[in-house]
Amino acid sequence: MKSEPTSQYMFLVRGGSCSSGHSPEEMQAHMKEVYNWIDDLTKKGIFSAAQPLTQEGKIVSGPGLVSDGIAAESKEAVGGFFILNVASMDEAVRIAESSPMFGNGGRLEVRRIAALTACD
Amino acid sequence: MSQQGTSAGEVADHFFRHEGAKVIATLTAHLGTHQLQLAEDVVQEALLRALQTWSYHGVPENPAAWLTQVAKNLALNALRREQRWNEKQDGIAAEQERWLSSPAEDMKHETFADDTLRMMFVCFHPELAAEAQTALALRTLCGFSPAEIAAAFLTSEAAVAKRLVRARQRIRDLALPFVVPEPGELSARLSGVLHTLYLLFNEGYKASTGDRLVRNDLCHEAIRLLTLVTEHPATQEPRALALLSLMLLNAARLHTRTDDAGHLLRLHEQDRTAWDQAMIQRSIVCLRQASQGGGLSVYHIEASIAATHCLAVDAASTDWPRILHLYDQLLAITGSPVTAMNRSVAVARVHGPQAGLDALRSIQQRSVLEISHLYYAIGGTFAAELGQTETACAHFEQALKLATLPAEREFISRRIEECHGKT
Repeated sequence: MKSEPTSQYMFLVRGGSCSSGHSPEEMQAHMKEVYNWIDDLTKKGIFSAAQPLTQEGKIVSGPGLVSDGIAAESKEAVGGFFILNVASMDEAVRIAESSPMFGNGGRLEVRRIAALTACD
Repeated sequence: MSQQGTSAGEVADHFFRHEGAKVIATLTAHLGTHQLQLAEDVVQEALLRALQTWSYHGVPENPAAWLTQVAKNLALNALRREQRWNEKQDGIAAEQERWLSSPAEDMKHETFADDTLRMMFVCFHPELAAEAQTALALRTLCGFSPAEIAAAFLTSEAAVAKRLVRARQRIRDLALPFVVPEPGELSARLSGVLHTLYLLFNEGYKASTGDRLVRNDLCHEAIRLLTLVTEHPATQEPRALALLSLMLLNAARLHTRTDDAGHLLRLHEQDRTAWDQAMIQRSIVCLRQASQGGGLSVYHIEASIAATHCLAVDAASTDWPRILHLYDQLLAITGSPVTAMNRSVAVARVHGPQAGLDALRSIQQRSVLEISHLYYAIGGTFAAELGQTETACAHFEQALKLATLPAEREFISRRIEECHGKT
């Protein structure tokens, strides 16, 4: 079966950093959910890469114009990203909807990674 | 998922809970009991970081060492900050700083067992109230959250949090040492530890309204901690083994005590084939070990009673004369009206319901029992067996007034319906 041509999409994980109110058991259960989701994507050949980001960050606006990054507690803070191979934005959104990342007000920003060859 | 790490399936059930508790014990061993709160906080934070990092990266090769290392770094930073802000306070002792800065060694089972046992003697210190002891043990030794503890004890999360704060404060005020007590003191202190573990187990065992999973967890945590007690050279006494045997025998039957709808089932109604035979075998080994080296405790007798039930092929072939004999022994030791009440059931099975009723009515401190639904439920059962339907009905009605837990109330209501069916 010839599969549809795919593009790479990046899911930016915003907000939703776990508060200290969660029990170890709940945290571990959440981690397993994330793994199951990723395992499933890996089996389907969709998963490409993922990395967490540490909390510390700086915003550099020019030489000598350095300020602190977005606080980790902020809803806008990016906690990590996923890169997936999918055929369309619609499919990427569907996959994002199926993810277990939404606890504590977490959100996923879905962005297509621009191809080098064509102007999208 | 990732090339760096192993898959999530390799993190055992309750890994976060138990590994977190181990690290709390290890940190407290090095920082002192007055830093218990700090140890709990940094371990919670370390688990959070594990969650955030492992979800993308995969589980590291040695997750326990990873967790310990992160917790140590966090503790070191916190103590340095504290020191900077409060110059008058003693600095971090050189030894503590050295340990916190050293790489996390693989946690050896012996070291962990040692630290956990010492932590048990802190949590179960007689200077702490009984309810504070169990709450603290569940928090620090078992990794439960205040919400989970509240669910287990049918109380509010705020009440549990308050209880924990007071317990830690008391530990600081009394400067409780992080040690296994000296030989002269050990026997009495071990009694307290065993009794509290017994209470913890019973809290899980009794038919409460709480979540069934939480209740099973309480039983299994009590067994896990008691197993450590029985394996440690300082505390492996026959009475500890006997209590472990008793818990295993009851845990083996735990899941057959209610039907799918949550209705309580009597011993003769339970599916014996579903009893956990491996657990029963382990309990028998424990009981055999417990009977060596002398010293007969109430736990020995209670375990023997439970074993007699468990080893019967079916309800009809239960060795009731042996059980009655054991209850006679138990009553001689405890002299408790509750023991006498339970004994009356064995009397009825051996000598008939009238003898059971007589035994029940001749209990000396009967007034203590008259607030218990069980007293009336047992009396009602004897009366029903004697065909005294009206008396039985009156007893069950009284039992219903006293019972609080839904499963028990439902059970008694069914007995009342049976009585009405006969009149």
